[in-house]
Amino acid sequence: MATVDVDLPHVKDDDPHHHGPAKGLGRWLFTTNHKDIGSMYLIFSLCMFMIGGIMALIIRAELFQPGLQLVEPNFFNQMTTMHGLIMVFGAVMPAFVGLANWMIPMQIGAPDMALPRMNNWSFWILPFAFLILLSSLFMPGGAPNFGWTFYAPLSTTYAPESVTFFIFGVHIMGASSIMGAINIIATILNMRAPGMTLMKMPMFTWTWLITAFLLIAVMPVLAGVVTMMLMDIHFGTSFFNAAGGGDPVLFQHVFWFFGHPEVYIMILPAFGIISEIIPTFARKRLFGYSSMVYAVASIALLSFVVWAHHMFTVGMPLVGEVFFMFATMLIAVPTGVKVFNWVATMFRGSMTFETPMLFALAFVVLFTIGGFSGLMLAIAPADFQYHDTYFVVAHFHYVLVPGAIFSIMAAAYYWLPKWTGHQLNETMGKLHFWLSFVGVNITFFPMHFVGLAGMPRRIPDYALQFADFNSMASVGAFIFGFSQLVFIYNIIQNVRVGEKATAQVWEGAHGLEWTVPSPAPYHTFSTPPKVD
Amino acid sequence: MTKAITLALSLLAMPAWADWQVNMNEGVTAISREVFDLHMLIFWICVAIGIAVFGVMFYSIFKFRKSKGAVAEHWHENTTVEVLWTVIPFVILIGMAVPATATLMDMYDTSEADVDIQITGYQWKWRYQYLDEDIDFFSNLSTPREEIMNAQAKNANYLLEVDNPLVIPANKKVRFLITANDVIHSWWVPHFAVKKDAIPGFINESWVKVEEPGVYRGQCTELCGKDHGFMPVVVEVKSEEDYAKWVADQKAMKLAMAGEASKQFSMDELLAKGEGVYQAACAGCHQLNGQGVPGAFPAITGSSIATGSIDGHIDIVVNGKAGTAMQAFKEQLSAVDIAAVVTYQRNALGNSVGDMVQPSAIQK
Amino acid sequence: MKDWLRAFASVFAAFLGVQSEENRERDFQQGRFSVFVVAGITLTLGFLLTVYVLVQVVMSFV
Repeated sequence: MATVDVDLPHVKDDDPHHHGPAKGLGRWLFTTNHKDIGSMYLIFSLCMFMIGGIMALIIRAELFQPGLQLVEPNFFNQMTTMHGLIMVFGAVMPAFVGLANWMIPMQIGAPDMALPRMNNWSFWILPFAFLILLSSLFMPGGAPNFGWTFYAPLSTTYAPESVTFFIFGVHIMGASSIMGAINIIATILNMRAPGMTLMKMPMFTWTWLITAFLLIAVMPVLAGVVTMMLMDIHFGTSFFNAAGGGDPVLFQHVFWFFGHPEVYIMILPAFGIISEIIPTFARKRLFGYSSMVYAVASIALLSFVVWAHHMFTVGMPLVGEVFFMFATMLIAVPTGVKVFNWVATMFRGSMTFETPMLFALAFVVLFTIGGFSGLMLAIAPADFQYHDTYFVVAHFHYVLVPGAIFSIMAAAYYWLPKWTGHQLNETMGKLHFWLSFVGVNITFFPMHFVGLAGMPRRIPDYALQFADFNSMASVGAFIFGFSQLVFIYNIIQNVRVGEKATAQVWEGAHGLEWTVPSPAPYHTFSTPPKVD
Repeated sequence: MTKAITLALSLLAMPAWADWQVNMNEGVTAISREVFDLHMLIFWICVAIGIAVFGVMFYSIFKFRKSKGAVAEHWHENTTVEVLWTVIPFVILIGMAVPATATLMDMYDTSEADVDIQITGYQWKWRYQYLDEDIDFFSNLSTPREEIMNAQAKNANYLLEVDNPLVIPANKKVRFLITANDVIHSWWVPHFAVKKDAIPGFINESWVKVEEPGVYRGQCTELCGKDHGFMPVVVEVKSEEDYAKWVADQKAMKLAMAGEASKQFSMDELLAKGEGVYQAACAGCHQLNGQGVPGAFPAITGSSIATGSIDGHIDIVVNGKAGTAMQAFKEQLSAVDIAAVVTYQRNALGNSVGDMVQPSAIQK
Repeated sequence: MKDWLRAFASVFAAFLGVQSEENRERDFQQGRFSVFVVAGITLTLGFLLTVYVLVQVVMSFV
């Protein structure tokens, strides 16, 4: 990224046409302000993270010892399903959209998002989608219990009746994501300040631009697959029913054609965040910015041609098996190389270790571990031993929790002073970091071991040889879960009190967002800055 | 880098960590050992890359701190280095793909099998049909309910034990034809490195050739509903002579069963037998007390079927109800079992219709 | 013609995850967006075809 020199005459908002936020509830219901909507997305995501987290703790509590203690197997399946759906669609994705809402206009020098009313709408349908989904817990027959991947025919012929509500909820989430993505693309392509060429854009904006295209490409596929389910359930079609001439494996192909790009949707913005934070605290420009931009684009394209590596055991022909194994191994390389770039950025830098940097460093190490297990999973013959065991659970939690979620926490700590105008309480931030770091590893590392030793995933009870590592994982989960209360405390304290933050906030930070005062005024860049 | 790989490869010779239960089972077949070697190879490659990457990273973290007076340098790209660190992993992966593909081809070669067995997944049990012999049976979890509910101490094979294990001969190539009756299941025995999805309406193939007789245990590995965690796979590998003897025994048993079906039973006999059948085959959904689970599984107590016409009752047990979790039990239960369980349901669990049915009247 | 070759070279570099600042400045200043989209799609198809051919070659050893 080229150094951004800004000529900024209008930091103060002296245009009488502009005004502050409205008062009361109306401010939030009718707002078209990207900062308000960004905040609502982030708060919503935090609530969902807590709800999904409680479900995870119910799962871990049941698995603390062999035998059935707390919940029935059917309720256990509802918990694993809802935990996955809520974390993916309710916590991680809205958090990234919230960060995009807050930061993209400020990073490119735009006054707001391109389509502010649609922005309001795409947020406000989201709580209803999740109310519908969560309400299914109280329906006769219970909530969806077929796993977040909802493989047919378990999710069609054999599903509880609430599956229809689940389908409706997924449709609404999909609509919300598509609208958010359109808005982000329109904003980035049309509203950049003069001189903010594409090649000067910060990495976070870049990764989001590409993610938005991915979202537009695959969310309709998800909508399609749930609609096919709906037809099978209510209108007598047989897309996924072999007895009627359909094929249950077709479901998996369509689902993973959405699902694999979805994996990148959840990690590319994280790459962007980490690529902002590491240069700031290493006080050195990102190594290989150009490579990074190009590689992210190519990863996005290639993410469409590897989906069947999630399905090595469905009995594909040998040709298919070999094809997807090769393709997966090949595209693992450009993905992995991003890690080298971050390490090279640190090399011969001048590093300090504030809370956002700690989360970013943990991201690099733990995401890489998740990448390694991903590489192992790509080897099809070995995958027969890993598939649907706790090894897979360990793998995707390593890329999603210390991956995506740590990057979101890093982003929150990094930009919080800009949002609230208060300097971060480093002691509390570090406490949160270390508790989370230790908790995450105690939780998910032993899962590699039980998975390799033969424990299948999604089981409420297990054989005795898995007992010790499962107890350990449960202890870790509770440490990780409760340490998030420190995070919430930090945020609340930061909003309420704290030392006044400067506009610059972090010594090594670069970019337009650091040229506006902290807290960022309700309207920023009403007059576009000039970027040279 | 090359040094690291050589080191990694030499470490492969070290004994695996299987004893500490942190690693994959090496297994008991040629294929499973190949898979294990692939697993260890890719693992050590990852370890080597990890040491290199994290080494540089932690070196930077300790060396280039601002608090130690480090001043940031200004370079931010180096195409040669980038090309190098892209090409090296690329070459390593190609090296990895070769043995992986070879193993995969072996696994897919199901030709020239000595024994063919069809494996069918049901919610939540396995059915084994020996295609060359007239042997056909179901394999259910045999761990007592009391152990699962923590009322009794758990035995060493907790959740990994069944009433009728699959029996196969040692040193023969056994081909499995894997399918399912309701939802997708997945048949997995870690020691064979065989995991194949059982998909309703489609047949997948896999095979195994085990050298040593023994008992090998696995589980269903595709979420298949409520009792997904309670449908283990147990395979007993017998020497060829023992296997032949087992096949003969099975056939003799089948004849004896056929004789049983024409016998007349008293009400008490049927009730006593029916209680056991109910607990094994029905209670999973309809519950031990017959109350069912509202919204999911209907109650037997007071049900219009269990208290209505006996023919309708027999029909639903024998043929199931399409589109629901109620399976057709005609193949899973003998005529004696069906007669007993129908009689039991009508005269126990709070029902008292008073009629009974004889095994000879069950039309399958 | 030169534009096209450059675009293909850049997209190929992207697949490897390597690109120099110099080339990027050139691409972003002179290149046309549509050319890169076409190059991207073509090379993705090319990638698929390459892997497919590779697999067919491997299969011929069965």
